[in-house]
Amino acid sequence: MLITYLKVAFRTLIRKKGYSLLTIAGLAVGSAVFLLIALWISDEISYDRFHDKGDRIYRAVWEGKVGDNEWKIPLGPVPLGEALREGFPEVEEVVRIRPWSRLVRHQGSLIREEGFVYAEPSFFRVFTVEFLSGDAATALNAPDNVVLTTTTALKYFGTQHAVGRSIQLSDGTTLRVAAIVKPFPPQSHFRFDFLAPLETLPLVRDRRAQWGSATVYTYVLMKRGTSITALEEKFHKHFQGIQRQGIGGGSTDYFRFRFDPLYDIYLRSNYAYEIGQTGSIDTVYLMSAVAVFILLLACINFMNLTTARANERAREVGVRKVVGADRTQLLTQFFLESVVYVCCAMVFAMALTEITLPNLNAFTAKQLSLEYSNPFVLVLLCGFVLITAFVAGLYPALVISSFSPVSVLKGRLTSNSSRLAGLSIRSVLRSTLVVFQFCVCIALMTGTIVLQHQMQYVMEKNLGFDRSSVLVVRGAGALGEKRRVFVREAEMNPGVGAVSMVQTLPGYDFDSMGFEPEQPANYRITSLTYAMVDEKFVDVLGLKIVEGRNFSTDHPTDSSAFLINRSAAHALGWKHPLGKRLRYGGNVEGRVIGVVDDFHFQSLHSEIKPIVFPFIRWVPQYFAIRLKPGDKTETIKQVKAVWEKLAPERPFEYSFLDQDYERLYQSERRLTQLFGLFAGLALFIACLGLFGLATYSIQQRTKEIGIRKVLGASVINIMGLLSKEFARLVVVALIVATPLAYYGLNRLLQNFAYRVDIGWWVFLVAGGAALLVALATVSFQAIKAALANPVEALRYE
Amino acid sequence: MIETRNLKRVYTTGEVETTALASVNIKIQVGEFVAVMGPSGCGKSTLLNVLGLLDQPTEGEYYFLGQEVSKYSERQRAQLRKANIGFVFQSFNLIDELTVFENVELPLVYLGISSSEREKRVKNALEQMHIVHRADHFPQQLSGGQQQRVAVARAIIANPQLILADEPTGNLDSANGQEVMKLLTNLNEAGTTIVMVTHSSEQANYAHRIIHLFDGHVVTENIKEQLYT
Repeated sequence: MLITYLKVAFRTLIRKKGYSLLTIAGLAVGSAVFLLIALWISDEISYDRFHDKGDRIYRAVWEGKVGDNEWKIPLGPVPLGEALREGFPEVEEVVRIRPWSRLVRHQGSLIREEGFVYAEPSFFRVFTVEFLSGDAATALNAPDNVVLTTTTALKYFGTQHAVGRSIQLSDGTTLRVAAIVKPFPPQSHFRFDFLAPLETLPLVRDRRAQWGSATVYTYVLMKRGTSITALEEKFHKHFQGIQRQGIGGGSTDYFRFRFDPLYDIYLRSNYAYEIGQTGSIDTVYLMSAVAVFILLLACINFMNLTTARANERAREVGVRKVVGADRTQLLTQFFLESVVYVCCAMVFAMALTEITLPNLNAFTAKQLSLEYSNPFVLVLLCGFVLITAFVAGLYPALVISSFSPVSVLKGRLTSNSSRLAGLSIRSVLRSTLVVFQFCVCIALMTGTIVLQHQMQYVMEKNLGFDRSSVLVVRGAGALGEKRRVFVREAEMNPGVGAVSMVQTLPGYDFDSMGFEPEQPANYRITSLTYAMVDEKFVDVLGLKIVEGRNFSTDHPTDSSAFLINRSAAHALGWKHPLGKRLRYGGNVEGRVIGVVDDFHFQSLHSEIKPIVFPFIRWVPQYFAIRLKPGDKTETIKQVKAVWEKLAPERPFEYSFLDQDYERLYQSERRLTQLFGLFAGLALFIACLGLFGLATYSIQQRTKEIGIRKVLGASVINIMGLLSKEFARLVVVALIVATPLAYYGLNRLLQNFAYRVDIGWWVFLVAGGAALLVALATVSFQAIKAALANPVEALRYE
Repeated sequence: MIETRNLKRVYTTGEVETTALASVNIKIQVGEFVAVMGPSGCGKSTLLNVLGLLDQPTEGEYYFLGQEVSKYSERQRAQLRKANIGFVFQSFNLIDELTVFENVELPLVYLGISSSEREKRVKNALEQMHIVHRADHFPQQLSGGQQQRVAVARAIIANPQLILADEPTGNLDSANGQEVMKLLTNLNEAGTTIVMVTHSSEQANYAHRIIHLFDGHVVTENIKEQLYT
């Protein structure tokens, strides 16, 4: 029996080529999108699952508030680790780590290694690391030990058997390779290429007892059966004791440590100073919704096309019933037919997936693949086929199998009351489904337009500083005292405007620290964002000084002076900020000599914060170089030559400020592109369906069209008549989609402190575009029908 | 075999009621060959549908093989139908996607008969209808006469006690038509009860008895022997 069903299914599929192509193409595209997104999601949610004790690992997050400055960061103070290790029996193990990029000597030059991570020996007891050689118990015990991943070993030694060999850092330190381990899989919230003992990092040694500085990432491994919330409470009480000994002065100030589960880090924490790239659970949800919706669109196509042409199968159903088939048997038959179509679509979908995977991988920087050898994947694919077939095929099977056999005896569908009612219910349902399809299309299109608009706004908004044509050179500190020579020589280049030495720049991370401002704060410690800059900073970024003056080499006391922004003056309660005193770092005290106008040193996601610019006293990180119009490549070459003369061993690492700044919007930009892509695909699928529906609807109205033409209707009249019913559906879809999309997009834009308004024109454009595409799709069939000879249509009557 | 009492069938389309059968009382014995005649729209086909358990009467009683079946559910009617009734249509109603063999086989498939048994019986039936050489063809590849022979083969494959034929020769030329009528006569002589709707009195002459319908009523019942003697 099954074989007969399948035989008929295949024969129908081949005989109705056009119909099969429409249904299968829509379903294939929809399924491919679904599969791609499912692959991406399964990768996103699999982060950090490879650790054996992962369910017991937590990362400390430091929450605090001092003055107006609030923070919540995964970096914590160094002594936190010891405090947790010593006083709390429920803690099985603690590991502190800190990535610190190093320059490593390789074949005569220095290579910057971003994956250089300092860690305690307990690293291997907390995290799951596979050793190829060396001993986990001792690998990080000696100060000159280093652990390499296989990839790193291959890169530096050409072999994985590198234990006992040595690597050299730029500062002359020699490290001995103590072990070779497998690198973490890509689904890890941080990665490492090198592991070195934590206590050899000067920063950590210096801050060993400092509770006030965020320095290391602290992970705890809890004992089985213990409660992390209990630990959180217990530790908080313990910590208040420490706090009384002198950190955090003000009454409203507070500190608190929280512990995030390891599995939540990648998707659910989005702090400043993250240890690696994080994802976003919101994006995962959004993409899941998009995947489900697009698959639904494809299923709806299937349903609509199948029920629309159900009449063609009426005779077959009738005959089968007459010769003895009961409803269940027919249901099975037509459901199996859907399974056949879905299977065909799946073959194409998998081909499409394979073809587009490299692009997706390039776009998301992942290594996704369909692994057919994995039984789990196979089960999933089969399940997917069945569920899709179920969703898409059940309703048509119900409709078709319900045909009354009486119709068959009359040679055509009778028009008794129940049949008419059935037809109209079905066509209402069909219309509803089309409306739903276009709702999704319109929502995705408005999403694309609004996000694009927001991106454009973000790119074009006057940020208060000029980010174009600023060359950023890394590693200013490495030049030592020669940095002034670099500035002098670079500035002599005719293509260079000014060169500034700075600690940080817009688009990069900003630190905060405790300042003690004079009245009205009365030298109470207030945490403020700061960036140490020199006298060229204002020129290079094109900032506007609204009060006072810039730093100047003519005033020796400027070395302890400050610039502040307008918001800082406001936050500190200074109506006349010039000459006000500020202290920081215990012993540096100076006066405010100028106020700069507010500018967006952070992305438009957040509002402009108060910021203090102390004159640079610490080692600068970057040179910011204002380039004059002209041949920039040549200028950069010459600046590079200056660098290489002063630091021949150091790589010349540079970037452009505008590109660095725009990276802050990378995820939104990606989202915008994805939205555009999916809106296009959704529209494509919906139009495939519409094309099919139009074909059948027009076939059914052939007689009506013939009569109208005989009575004098023009081609335009007929086209209008036929297009109107579909145009109406799109308009209804627009009306339904508008409030939903408006609500959703408003929520999406909440991420930006500065955002565009969603104008009514957005919906008009999206609706108009959908209408246009829909009409274009329908008109092909409508024109054909309108031009047909009416005699043909009426001959059979 | 068949008895109807005050059989009534009314169709409702919107607000219009059409009475297709109004109080039909007929009796058909086992082994009879009955022709139903009458003008277009007199209710012939409706009667055949009701007798064939494809349609339900609006009112009245219908005894089929001694059981009152007018209130049977679709499933019950299907059960009764597939075991006892074969149909032949004017427009053949073969399934285009199935071969001749598969079309004839279909009733046996739904009866759950094993495939070896099916093959034997289908071959027999096709031989009987002189169409066995076309077993692997699709209906569109056959002439009208051949298609109707296939349809008859399908109607008899399950050895039904009753064959209902709705203008079985209507789409055929006279030669092919006569051949089909001969087939039906042979079946009847072998014991199968036949009820045939027809327009043509020539065809009706093959029957033992003719029932005339007009506007949903039985107007006359002629026993042929009486008519000609």
